[in-house]
Amino acid sequence: MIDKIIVVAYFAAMLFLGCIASKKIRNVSDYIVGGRSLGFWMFVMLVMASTTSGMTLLGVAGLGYAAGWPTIWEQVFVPLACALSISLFGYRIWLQARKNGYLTVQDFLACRYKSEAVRTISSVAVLVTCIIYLTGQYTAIAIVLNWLFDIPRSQALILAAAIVVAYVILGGLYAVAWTTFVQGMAIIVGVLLTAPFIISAAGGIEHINSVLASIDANMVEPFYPQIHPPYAGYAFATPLFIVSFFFLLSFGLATAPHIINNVLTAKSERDFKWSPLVVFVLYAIVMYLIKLTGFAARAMSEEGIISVPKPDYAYIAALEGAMPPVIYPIFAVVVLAAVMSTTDRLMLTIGSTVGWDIYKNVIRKKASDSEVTLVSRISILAVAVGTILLAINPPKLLAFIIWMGIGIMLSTFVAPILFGLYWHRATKEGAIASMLFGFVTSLIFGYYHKFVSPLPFHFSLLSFAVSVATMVVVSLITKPMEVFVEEEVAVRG
Amino acid sequence: MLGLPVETVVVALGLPIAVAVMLILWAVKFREVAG
Repeated sequence: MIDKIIVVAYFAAMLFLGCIASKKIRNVSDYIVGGRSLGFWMFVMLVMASTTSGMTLLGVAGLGYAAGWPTIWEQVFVPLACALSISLFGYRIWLQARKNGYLTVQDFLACRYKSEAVRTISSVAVLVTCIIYLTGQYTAIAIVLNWLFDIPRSQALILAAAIVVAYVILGGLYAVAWTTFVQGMAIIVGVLLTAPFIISAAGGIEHINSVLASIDANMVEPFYPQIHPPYAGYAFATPLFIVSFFFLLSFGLATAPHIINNVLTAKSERDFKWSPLVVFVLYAIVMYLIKLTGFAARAMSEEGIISVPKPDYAYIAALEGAMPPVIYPIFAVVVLAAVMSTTDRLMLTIGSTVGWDIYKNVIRKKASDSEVTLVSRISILAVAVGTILLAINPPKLLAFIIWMGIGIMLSTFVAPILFGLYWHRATKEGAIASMLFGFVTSLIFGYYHKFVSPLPFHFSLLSFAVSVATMVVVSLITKPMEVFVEEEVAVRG
Repeated sequence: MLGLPVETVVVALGLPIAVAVMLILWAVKFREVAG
């Protein structure tokens, strides 16, 4: 009973924040970027918790459970993605956004390359990757609520989605930022409080490591041996794979639409000075602790203390096994918070892409602020319904498709944004070719890896290389662009 | 240390510390680096 009360109270608090936030929405800038008014801690938490998804808690612990210490690298790569998103990419975009009024990263791309085609292609890629990711988040929500309440998957999904959709539609970025702040705090406090209990219940770190080593000596090494095909399906933790994961996670995630768009919400230039370090340290601590709970769950499972039906249940099962029965449901909210903090940001990113980038900038340039906000809200609702239907019966290859989604981000966005920011010679033709080739080759190499012959590294490394090479070659053989982005006219008014 | 080979400890502790140092440098040299 207490678990139901806690979750209902949590949902009610989120809705309450959405209602309060709705009173601050006066124009489309308020709805999409919160009027560029977020303070330091709100900004830091937004970047961190938008990145902290269902995959972070369930997947990170699950990967630790399945493969041990060779997976520790992702605990650095993902927090690094947040730091790079703010420092390497975000700061310069923010400076230009302040001058030119950008509301999305696609605004930056369209202005930098003086091309609405660049905006359209990047917007389509944003929608594809966000919808893939969103389906994964809803599937994770269903797992958590199904476990908590033992209710059918469809009911669990509709319940959670209705709450998230309501507060995103009502309060836009303000609602996302405020709820994400609460969710981020819940994640940090929850993980800090639960991880020591779980590690202690498993016998301490040294004992956990000795159990892991007894299962497979490689589980306590920094990586699995570089042989191909891999001997135990751990291709993701060989040295070559780890290199490809560095690019995939640190750069691909850094430019993920639901993460990099957060930089446009910061209030002050000063926020960019220390926020990369703060977000990295906070997030790395949380990620390390979650990974350790995955190791602990494996040790407890091996010793018959808990039963883990699937690796993705490692964190939940360890929580249930280590915490007193009355208390552990409280921490189920932590898992829910992690999933919802990404879900709401993804939905707002989809809404702003459809309303602002496609409707306002491509279909109807004279659209008013209220019209754009309405279109954004309708698209959020429509996409939520579509992705819930997908999540009720998730595709069999969902995990692979999500990884492919991150690969598409790496192969589509990184080169045009990075070269657009740091290389004056980058041209419109180079950007368009880079995005198209990167997008198409990521699908081709992904298909080849999955259905023809597995590669010894993540397939997106190849498509990323193609997108970078295309950007450089095509830019060099086409006419240089005359005016650089700082001299651009304003996007809005 | 903690039942782990030295290489694992170096990676698990050294890598995040190296990144943190890099980000401290970013903050200290903010004007020069970002400008």
